[in-house]
Amino acid sequence: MEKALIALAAALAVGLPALATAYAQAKIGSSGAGTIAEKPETGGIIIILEAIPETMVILGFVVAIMLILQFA
Amino acid sequence: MLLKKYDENYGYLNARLRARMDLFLKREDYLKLANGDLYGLEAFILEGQFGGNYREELLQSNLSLEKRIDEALARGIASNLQKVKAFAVGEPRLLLELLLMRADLHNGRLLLRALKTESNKTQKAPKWYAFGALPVSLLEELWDCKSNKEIIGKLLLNGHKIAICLARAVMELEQTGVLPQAERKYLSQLVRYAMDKIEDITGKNKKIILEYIHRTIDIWNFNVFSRKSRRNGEDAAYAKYFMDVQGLIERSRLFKATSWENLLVGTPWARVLKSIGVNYNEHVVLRNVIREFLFWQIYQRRKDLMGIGVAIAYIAMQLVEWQNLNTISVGLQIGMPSDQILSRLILLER
Repeated sequence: MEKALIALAAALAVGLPALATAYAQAKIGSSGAGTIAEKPETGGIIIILEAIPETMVILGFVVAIMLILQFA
Repeated sequence: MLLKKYDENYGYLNARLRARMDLFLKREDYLKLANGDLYGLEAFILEGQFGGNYREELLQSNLSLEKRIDEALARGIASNLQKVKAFAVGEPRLLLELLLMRADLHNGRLLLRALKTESNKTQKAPKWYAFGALPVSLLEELWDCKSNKEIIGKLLLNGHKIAICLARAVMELEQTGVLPQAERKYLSQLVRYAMDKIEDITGKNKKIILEYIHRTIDIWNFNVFSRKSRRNGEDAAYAKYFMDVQGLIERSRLFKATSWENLLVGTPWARVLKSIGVNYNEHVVLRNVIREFLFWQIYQRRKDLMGIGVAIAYIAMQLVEWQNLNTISVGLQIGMPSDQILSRLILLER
């Protein structure tokens, strides 16, 4: 039972940030596409902005690994 | 997206529009143009966003410099606004179509006025706004029609809801012969059409568009009120031209008010009173009301970066720039001093 709860916690730690990241990247992506269409020179900045929400999933992934290694 | 009836791409559309807003002319650009001459204005237009259309006019026509500038600006704005419409998908597309309906309103009123005075039989067609739902080719055809019945037939045959609204207004003019009544009919039909269109939309974008429609109704009512207040004792004759649909100002207030102060104080239009001062005439009030409406539209760009407000502001800014360039062009043609030209421009520092 305890293992199952740890697995669920790890899944949530990755899954919830993944959903939030997907939402944020969709918004940033569409706005970024519009900006690049008008100002191609902003391409580099837009790629960086698009990547920033990824940190949420990476942190979630780290938390999930820690949960599994610590308690499983 | 799953919960909404319409898809939307506000992120993409607004990013493009905000990037394009950087291209609008600033005070110093206008100052430079007003201090120059028509050839300077021509060179400026050739290099700017209206350049493509200007070059086309330059190559294809034998028009004078003044007419080429005029034509290029009109075509340029139409192609810009049509392009913006093409960027939008789903809900913003639908709302943009409603916002650009102002062109249909303008064109319809031009046609109705011409039919009343029968100037379409003797004069050339006016410069239509080419960014509405009804194509310029249809308007040209209507202008050349021999009778109102022919116009109504063509409009009904076209089948677009806006064409049907205009057909009903022409019918009203045919039956009553009263121009304000026909114009009122046209506006109220367009308002009903817009209300039907936004029925399924929910949320803050609907709220903004509703306010936009209500303010448009108010502008009409202000024009009627202006006539009513100029002709004391004939109130009833004008009061019937107030719109039957309520705007931001209640109908009862429109009937009861005896001065602009009575009418505007405590309403969203109250700021107009500050800008007109104490000694004012009707024209100053009406001009300031229009300005206030423009500033309200432009202010929407800051309220919600992911909503329809950015498009409302963009369209208003585009129309203001067009008007300013036309003012400069006319000012230069008649040799007006630059400070007087500048005083007639709408500068968007707010």
